[in-house]
Amino acid sequence: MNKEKLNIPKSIYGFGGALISISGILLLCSFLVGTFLNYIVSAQTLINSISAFFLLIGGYYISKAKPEIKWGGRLISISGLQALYIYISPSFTPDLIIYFPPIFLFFGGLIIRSVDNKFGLSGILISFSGLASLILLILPKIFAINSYPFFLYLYLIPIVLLIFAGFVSTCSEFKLFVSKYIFSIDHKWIGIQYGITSMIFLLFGFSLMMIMRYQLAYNMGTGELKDLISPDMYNALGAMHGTIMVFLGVVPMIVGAFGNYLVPLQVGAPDMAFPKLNMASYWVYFIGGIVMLASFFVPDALPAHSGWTSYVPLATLSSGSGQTFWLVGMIFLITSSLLGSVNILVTIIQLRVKGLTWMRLPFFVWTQLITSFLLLLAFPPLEAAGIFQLLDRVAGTHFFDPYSGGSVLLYQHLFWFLAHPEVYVLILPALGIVAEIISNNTRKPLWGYKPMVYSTIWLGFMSFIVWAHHMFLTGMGTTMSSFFMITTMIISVPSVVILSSLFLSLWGGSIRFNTPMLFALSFLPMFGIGGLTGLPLGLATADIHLHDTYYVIGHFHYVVAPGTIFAIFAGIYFWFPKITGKTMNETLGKIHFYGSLVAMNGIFMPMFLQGLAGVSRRLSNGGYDYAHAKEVLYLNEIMSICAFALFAFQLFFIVNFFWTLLRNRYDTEVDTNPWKSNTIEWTDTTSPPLGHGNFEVIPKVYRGAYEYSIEGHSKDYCPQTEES
Amino acid sequence: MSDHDIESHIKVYWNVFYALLAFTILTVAVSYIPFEEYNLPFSPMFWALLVGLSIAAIKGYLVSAYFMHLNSERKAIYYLLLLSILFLVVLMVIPMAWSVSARNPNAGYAPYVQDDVERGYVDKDYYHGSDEDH
Amino acid sequence: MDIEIPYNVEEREDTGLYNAKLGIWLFLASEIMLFGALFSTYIILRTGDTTWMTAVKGAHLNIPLATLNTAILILSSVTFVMSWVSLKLKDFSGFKKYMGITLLCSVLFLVIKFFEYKAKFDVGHYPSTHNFYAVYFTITGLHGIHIIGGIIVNAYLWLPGSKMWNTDPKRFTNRIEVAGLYWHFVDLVWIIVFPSIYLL
Repeated sequence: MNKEKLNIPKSIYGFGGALISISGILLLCSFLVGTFLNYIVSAQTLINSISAFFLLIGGYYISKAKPEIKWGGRLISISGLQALYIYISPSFTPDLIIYFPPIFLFFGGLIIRSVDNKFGLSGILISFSGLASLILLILPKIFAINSYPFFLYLYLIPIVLLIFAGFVSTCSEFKLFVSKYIFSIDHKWIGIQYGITSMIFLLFGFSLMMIMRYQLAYNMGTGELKDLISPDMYNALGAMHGTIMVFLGVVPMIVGAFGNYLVPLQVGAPDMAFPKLNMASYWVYFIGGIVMLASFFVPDALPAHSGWTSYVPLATLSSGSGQTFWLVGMIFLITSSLLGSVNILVTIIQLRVKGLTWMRLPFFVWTQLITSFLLLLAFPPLEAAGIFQLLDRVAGTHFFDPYSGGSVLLYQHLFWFLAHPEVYVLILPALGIVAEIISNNTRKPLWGYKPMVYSTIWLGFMSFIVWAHHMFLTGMGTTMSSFFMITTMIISVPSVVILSSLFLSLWGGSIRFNTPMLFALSFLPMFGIGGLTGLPLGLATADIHLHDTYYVIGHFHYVVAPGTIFAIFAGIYFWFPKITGKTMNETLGKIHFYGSLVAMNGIFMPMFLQGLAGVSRRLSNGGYDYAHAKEVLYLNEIMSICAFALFAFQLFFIVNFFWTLLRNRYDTEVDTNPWKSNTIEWTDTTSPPLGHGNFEVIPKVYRGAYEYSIEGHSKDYCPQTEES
Repeated sequence: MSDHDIESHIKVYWNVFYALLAFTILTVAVSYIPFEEYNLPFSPMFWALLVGLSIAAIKGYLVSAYFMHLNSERKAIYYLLLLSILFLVVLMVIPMAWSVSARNPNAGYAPYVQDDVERGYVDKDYYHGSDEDH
Repeated sequence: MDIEIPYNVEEREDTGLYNAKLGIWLFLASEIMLFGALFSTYIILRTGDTTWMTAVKGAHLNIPLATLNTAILILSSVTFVMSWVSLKLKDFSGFKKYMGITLLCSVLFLVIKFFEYKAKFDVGHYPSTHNFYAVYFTITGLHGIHIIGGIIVNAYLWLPGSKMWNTDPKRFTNRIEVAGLYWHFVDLVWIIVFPSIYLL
């Protein structure tokens, strides 16, 4: 598809763009002057007027660049003229005219974008700037949020967009860098972007937890280190730790990074079904992450401190904007997940190559399929709940206020309707990664591939009807609790099927104990412990004693931390050679593994003991005030030391990662299939795969993904795409 | 789709449109029927809901089957939508059933609480409030 | 640097769909869940609330105006289908005409909504006044945001996007079909919102 290249004299367009940038910078100065120098009104008006003047002149130059975009430039000029008029003569300005400049900016930018594809980015940024300003002008008229301090900072958005718009139009190399590395539409690079961002968030979330563990070990209401962090701050750290690890760390890693990178490769597609949507998903996730992080910097207020579950009424009533940031951030993250899941689903369903039937798909792709279905259908109720809570906080509605006809339990229903499928989202792709690595390193097929697939489908379906086992203690009747108890017991069956199949896959294999295999092997008993400790929690009667205790924390951390995160490490060690062409160091990997395994168990095993003794969650001094916790209090220090040890062992991983990345290749010839695997991404692509379209020759598939050690064959593996 | 097919479809689309308009007017008219005045087995609200939502369902079916071509789409899409509507129904029904059972003091309590109520240790209205409060 | 993604325009044999159509149906499935969650909230907040009907009466909902709005939206739906049909019949000017009517109807819908909201704000009825208003404003407001999104997409396809008709007509027709599915869904949601909020 050849796009015509319009010969816009770059210099004139660029000059006009530069002027718009300057206009934006002036607006920024005005904003800073107003915010931090206590609204020196006349200085602000002066700077604003000069900015509008620059907008006026900039638009003129843009319009002169080429006949087709003359109206684009003219609308921008008119916008600047109107803004100038508003600033110079405020007392004669009728109300409605304030809305005109952004509207004109919006349409001006659209015209520039539509006329020319090369400089269209600047046009888009200009129109988004106008749109954002318009929304920010209208919003206070509907909701009483003018008083919220964070609201002022939102005005930075249109200003920054305007600055970038101009900048982009001036510099073509910058544009190239931007389109290749920042706004790339290549699924591999987007997967790497997801991976980098989520690993940073995982490290950050872990650090929050270490502060908490320090408090729990050494500040149990005694001694000189009293009030290292206030109880409210402890709760804030706890809530943000949970949110960041789940929504910003693990899910983007296993679905955004692993899913985005591997799914198109494993089904033989040149890219995801909707590459631009993929890019949009990543950036919306990024913005959501920034908003969540921004909640730490809200002046005079804490970040969200009502638990990662943000139960009402505590969350609605918590003071300060931290919780509001949390809600807004969640809305961005949910949107990103929705768009990403649509992409993965369409890719798997539509873009499989010839010969790749459903039952020949690698198990990893099946888990990504079901995970995307869970994300697609389960997230919207949480979005609704987030909107309701946001309105309750910001607009004074009473959705969850029992004194005015609201319902507190409603929030819990909507939240857990998502959050239960969410935990299956956390575990399913990990099971997929582990299955791939185990079958590859035992050199034999997966045992029970078909039952595993059907179990995954069954698990996905059932996960929608078990949510209230998180709500056993809310006063439900016996009918309801029996229903949910039964469904919870039933849902343990498919997960046991999958786990047992993975165990049985080991029988009779010739096992290679490389680092990915070590992590994958340890995943099995760790996930097993996590799953088994979930059973008492699923029984309503036992849950009465164990609900909201450390037992629960131990249970879900066993599933996610030595479970999913070990699978993530396994996946990184396993696919690193494909992504970079270099293999990570085995010795460092093994040290990382053994240390992490011991430390993980040291942290989470004692939690079961504490939970059975009755120590509650979210206590900022670890149960010091309670008599029933006295005997198990000593475990706090042990757990914290193990937590610090865990951090220390992650350093081995970080060093290994960067050292391998940055060193030169030892061998000039890159082995594109070092693990001797069967799946398409190993056998038919280079390492790393081609930037444009992944495959030189579109593969055809002849068999399933687990044909290892076939009798009579010379090799012990038989690639999917090999003919005979 | 050949041109001839499309031409016949045009007629269908406009007919569906007129039908939708007719049903809209019907649904408004029906909303004025005073169900309380007839001696009907269930509550008047039930009948209003039944009739109103049935008409809405018919209109919805017309839009999805004809405008959205669901009739001529492969079964897979149909099942996908059915699945999401199933989950939706679960989401709606369970909290409803919950709040109904929670408001009935006899059906709402766990057995150990119910026993305490019967023994007189706990006032029956303690957890759910009395009927006058609702 | 455009990679050729298979089945973007022509349908895949075993599924009978092209990518965007599957994508939009999946998105609509998630939207069913979103509006469904809103409706389930409506049901839960309303049942057992003895003050609800008083608030409804106090709201003085303008039913004839809402009926008109419903009719306008249904009209916009059928003209959208007609615009797609025109494209299938290679009648570009017909497409422009029908899409223009669709856009006009949708803007009209929003204008009427604006007056409805204004009427409530003028008497001091805000979402915080009573849960009925909270539900009313949230459901119709979210629906309105979806309409605005639809207007932006349809306007883009009407004006600048329609250039694709000259270079890749089948792909453009598919785009209109996919946008139409979204628009019909928005209409569908209103068909359910109208009786449940205004009439019942």
